[in-house]
Amino acid sequence: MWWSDHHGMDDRELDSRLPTLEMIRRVGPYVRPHRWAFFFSFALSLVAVGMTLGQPLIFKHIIDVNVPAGDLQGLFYSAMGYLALMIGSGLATMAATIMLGKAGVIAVNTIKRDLFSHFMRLGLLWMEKHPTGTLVSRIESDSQRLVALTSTMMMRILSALGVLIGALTILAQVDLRLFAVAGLIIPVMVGGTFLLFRWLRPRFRKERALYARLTGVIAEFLPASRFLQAAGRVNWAAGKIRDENVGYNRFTVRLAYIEYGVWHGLGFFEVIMTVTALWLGTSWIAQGNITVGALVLFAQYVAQVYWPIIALSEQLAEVQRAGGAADRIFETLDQDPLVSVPKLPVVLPQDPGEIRFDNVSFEYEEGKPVLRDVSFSLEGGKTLALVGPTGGGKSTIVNMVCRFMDPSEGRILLDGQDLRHFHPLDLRKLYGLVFQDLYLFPVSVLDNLRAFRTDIPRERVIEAAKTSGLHELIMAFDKGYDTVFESRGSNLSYGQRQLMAFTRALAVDPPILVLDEATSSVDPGTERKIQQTLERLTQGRTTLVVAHRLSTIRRANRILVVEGGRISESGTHDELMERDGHYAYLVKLQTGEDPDA
Amino acid sequence: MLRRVLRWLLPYWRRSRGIMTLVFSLTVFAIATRTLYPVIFKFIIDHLSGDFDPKSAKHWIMVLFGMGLVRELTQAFLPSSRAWLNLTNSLHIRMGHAETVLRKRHDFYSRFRPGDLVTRLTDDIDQFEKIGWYSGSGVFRPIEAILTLVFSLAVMFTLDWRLTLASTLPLPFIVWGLARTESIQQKRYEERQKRTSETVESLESIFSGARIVKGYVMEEAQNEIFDKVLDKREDAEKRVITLQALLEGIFSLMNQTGLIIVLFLGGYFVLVNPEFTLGDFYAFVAYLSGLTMPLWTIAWFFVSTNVTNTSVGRLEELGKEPERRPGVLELPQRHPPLHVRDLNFEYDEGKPVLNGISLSVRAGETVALVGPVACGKTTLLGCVMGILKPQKGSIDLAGRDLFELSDEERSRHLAYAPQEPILFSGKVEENVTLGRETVSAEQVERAMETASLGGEVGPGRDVGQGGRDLSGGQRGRVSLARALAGTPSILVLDDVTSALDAKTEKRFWDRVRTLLPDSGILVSTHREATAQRADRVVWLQEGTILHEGRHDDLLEEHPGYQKLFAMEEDD
Repeated sequence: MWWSDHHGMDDRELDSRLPTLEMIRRVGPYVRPHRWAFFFSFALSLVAVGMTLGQPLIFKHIIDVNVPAGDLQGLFYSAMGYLALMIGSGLATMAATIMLGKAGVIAVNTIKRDLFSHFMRLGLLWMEKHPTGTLVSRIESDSQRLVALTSTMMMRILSALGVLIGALTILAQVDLRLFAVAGLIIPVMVGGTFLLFRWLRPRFRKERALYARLTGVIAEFLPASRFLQAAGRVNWAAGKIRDENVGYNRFTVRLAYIEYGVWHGLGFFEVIMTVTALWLGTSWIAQGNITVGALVLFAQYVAQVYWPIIALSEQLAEVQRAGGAADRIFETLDQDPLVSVPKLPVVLPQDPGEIRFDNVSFEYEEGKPVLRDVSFSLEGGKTLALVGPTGGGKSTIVNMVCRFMDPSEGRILLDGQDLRHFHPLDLRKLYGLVFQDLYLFPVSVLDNLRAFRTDIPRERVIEAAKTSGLHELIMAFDKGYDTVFESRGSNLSYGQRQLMAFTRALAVDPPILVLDEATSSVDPGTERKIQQTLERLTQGRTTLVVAHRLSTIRRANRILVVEGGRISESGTHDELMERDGHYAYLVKLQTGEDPDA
Repeated sequence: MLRRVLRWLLPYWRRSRGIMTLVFSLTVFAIATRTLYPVIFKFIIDHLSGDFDPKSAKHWIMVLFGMGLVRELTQAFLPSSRAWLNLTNSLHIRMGHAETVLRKRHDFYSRFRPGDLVTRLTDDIDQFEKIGWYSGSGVFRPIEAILTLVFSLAVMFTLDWRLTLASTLPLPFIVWGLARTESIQQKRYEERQKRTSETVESLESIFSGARIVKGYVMEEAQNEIFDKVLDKREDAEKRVITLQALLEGIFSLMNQTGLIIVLFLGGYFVLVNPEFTLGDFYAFVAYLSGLTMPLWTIAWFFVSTNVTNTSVGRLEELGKEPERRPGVLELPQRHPPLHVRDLNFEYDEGKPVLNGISLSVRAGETVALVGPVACGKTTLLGCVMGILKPQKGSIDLAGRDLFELSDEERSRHLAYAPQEPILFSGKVEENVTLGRETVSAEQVERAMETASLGGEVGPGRDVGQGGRDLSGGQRGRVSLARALAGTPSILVLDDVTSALDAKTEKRFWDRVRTLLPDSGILVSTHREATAQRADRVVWLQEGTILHEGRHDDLLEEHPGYQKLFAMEEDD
């Protein structure tokens, strides 16, 4: 299967389930600030239910009392009473809806804010592990669903229960036999709907998974349109989308027919109930121990009782679904950041110097180390270059230096102090990073270049752009430094975007520089500009460089060749060339000399 | 606006007219049985009150039973058939627009963000009360409501025309009121929609740039941005809630005043008019209570037309944008030479990116494109691949204009590996073939071997969404293998060597000629080793060709040429 296995995680997440009580306890803090709004709206909705239930009673009074007595004035009072009940219930519902709706919106947004800032805390590798769409839907739809549980769902459940209990109570008061008829058939309907929803639940889940797959295909293919055109595979891509859509439709339509079929099969019990009561009632009227008004009342209540039963079962399914959402939300909120924050963070050194790897090992999976027993030190103000094949462990070293992750074994020290003793946010403020992905945010050029740090003055950013030679390009934009990047800067060339990333590092002006393969795609002309600026920048600054382009790193104070998770060679350019090992081989490859000769 | 939406939907309805007919017949049948129900009830009440006649009453009770059965049956099939109609229309609408989006001209994609495009093709169609729902349920529910109104009023008229007139007095006011509030409603809904997209967009941009966010400690700034976006959305949502509750409350109250009129007048009629029975009275109450929902549905129809209208506008916007116009011709010749003649290209008028470019790539020849950043290399390759259409000049394969060839035909001859590799969820193998039936398993294997994927990543390996389960270098090599697998006449590589380290690159060039001995290769590069291997180097500078020749000759003749390669830059 082309799209296999990608929804495994979501299915697992849907299956695990928090106990309902636990769920309510966890939602508590979000609801508590609005407890009065919730309380009043629930109370008001019950009042509305009561008033609605009173209406058939007035009608019965008209049929059984006012009309036979020919009492015009009584009839007028009954009609006015009916009007009062209606207005009352209408106003109560309106007030409850507005109050609850507003409180719900605020509560949802509080969860969204919490989730968002928690995502920010959880760490880079966690975020990169999940597709962007999953992260967005956790914030967007999951929190919506969770709050619906506490607000609209709760209100619907309450009013449905109110109607059900109220109607049955009134019936029991009016006529016990009618109450018995309802009491015999209602359990069948309740049981039936309950079973139906239990059968439907996993199928709804599958429906959602199928839909997620459909949107997944679309999200992957549309942005790749230009490539698909170049590769002549547009029809193939459209076919893939169509296949997913057809599969989704087939499943969903079949489900709809079964769902509504069973529902209305159960709805037929309403007819059975009414017909039974009327049939028996005919004899009871003959015996003179029931009124026509009572029978009509029964018919009216039966019609009113049917929807709460469906609503209840439906809402129970919604509660389950909200349970899934709650699960995902709280599971995420409970997750600890990949890198921990020390209770008493050590104050950062004023002028950070040496970074040292002390027997560092790392493995993502047990028994499969990515780094083995790596030790080296990067002296303050010096430049260290990492060279080696893809997958050799260079990126892992960078991730650890920035403390995106911690070593499985060993220590990394900054001026003799374990990195884990600093606050990770403080620590990262020491770094300027240029990564392989050249991400530009849809905000102004200025904010992109100063990394949203408003304390960095505009002049410094302009200065940095002049150094990197980007100033002219930026001034040619519509609004210069205030131009907002569209489509993440895709109108810039790859090289220009890379220069942007360099300029960002220049503007931020950090004590430690980390460059990860940043130079590999820039043409030498541009790279020369960067080299010049970097030279000025690296002076007296601790710098770690990862690159394939040897020109970038040959001026480094020391070069480490990282292969298979170990350091295989280390020394200066000249030393390593003399040794004629792996590094020398790579250099010869690049200069076009045949290394095997 | 209503007319616009309906006209827009018309072609999709034509395509699903079978299901349309089914839904319409079911609707009429369901309404008929539902409106007759209270009348039968009336007969039962009449036989139980006044002249007590239990036998006739029981007779009508059995009719009621039968009618109830039919009612539930038709109602079981109605909503599910409507769902079928919704989904079928959604499919056609989505596919129509997905296909046009996939075929747009290059500038389209810089104006529409990917996330926005996806939203238009999913949320705008699939969400409740948006196009898909509207095209079926949205239109048939008001039809059902109107039929209910007509049927009920007809029955009520036959029962008592005076009472019918009196009790339906508030109806015109409701309709008038709803029409008045339409524009306010639309404004509120659009506002909410806009704020929702804003939230999603800001989340997407923050998560996609996670590495930069964390690396530069921008968490606080992002929290603030997200807070502001949410604040605006909160206000918009609150306004919608209030408006909706107010309208719903007011209109249902207005309608219920009709019920009061029936209760008083109807009761009075039963008292003074012997022809007006208790059963008639009951039927009136039942019908009038049954009118609230249909009225609400009709009112709601205008709201959902507003909502749908916005979404239709968003899809229409996509349709209006020009599509690329690929040709239809075929080119049976093997290894046709590629000629670019006097090519000019500009993204914005008056700012040429390429100016008078002429070059050719013949069978078995390797041509390297060299030049500083933004000199037009990628643009030139985009033209050669048929994505960008030059304003002047021509590109041809064996004398046949490239833009007259069909996409499939052109791509059979020209295979392209872009600078930034593009991968799709699925296995490596599927990413290499992209469903091309002409590419055999053996070809995949050999292409992967040549691209140095051999031992490292197997064809069955899952690459994850966008290839995220592979490393950057591996993604580049899968993309390379994909270009190699079709054994193209001409291989076009946009600096893919940056995805290969120096060692792997050497291996690649050693092997590629075994796999594609007769193919032309056009490669843009910054590596001297690559330029050295090329039969010819084309030196591009600010959109024009500065010099052309063998690497060694260029080195000798032009001191500036050396500076293009970093290793030679030594001071």
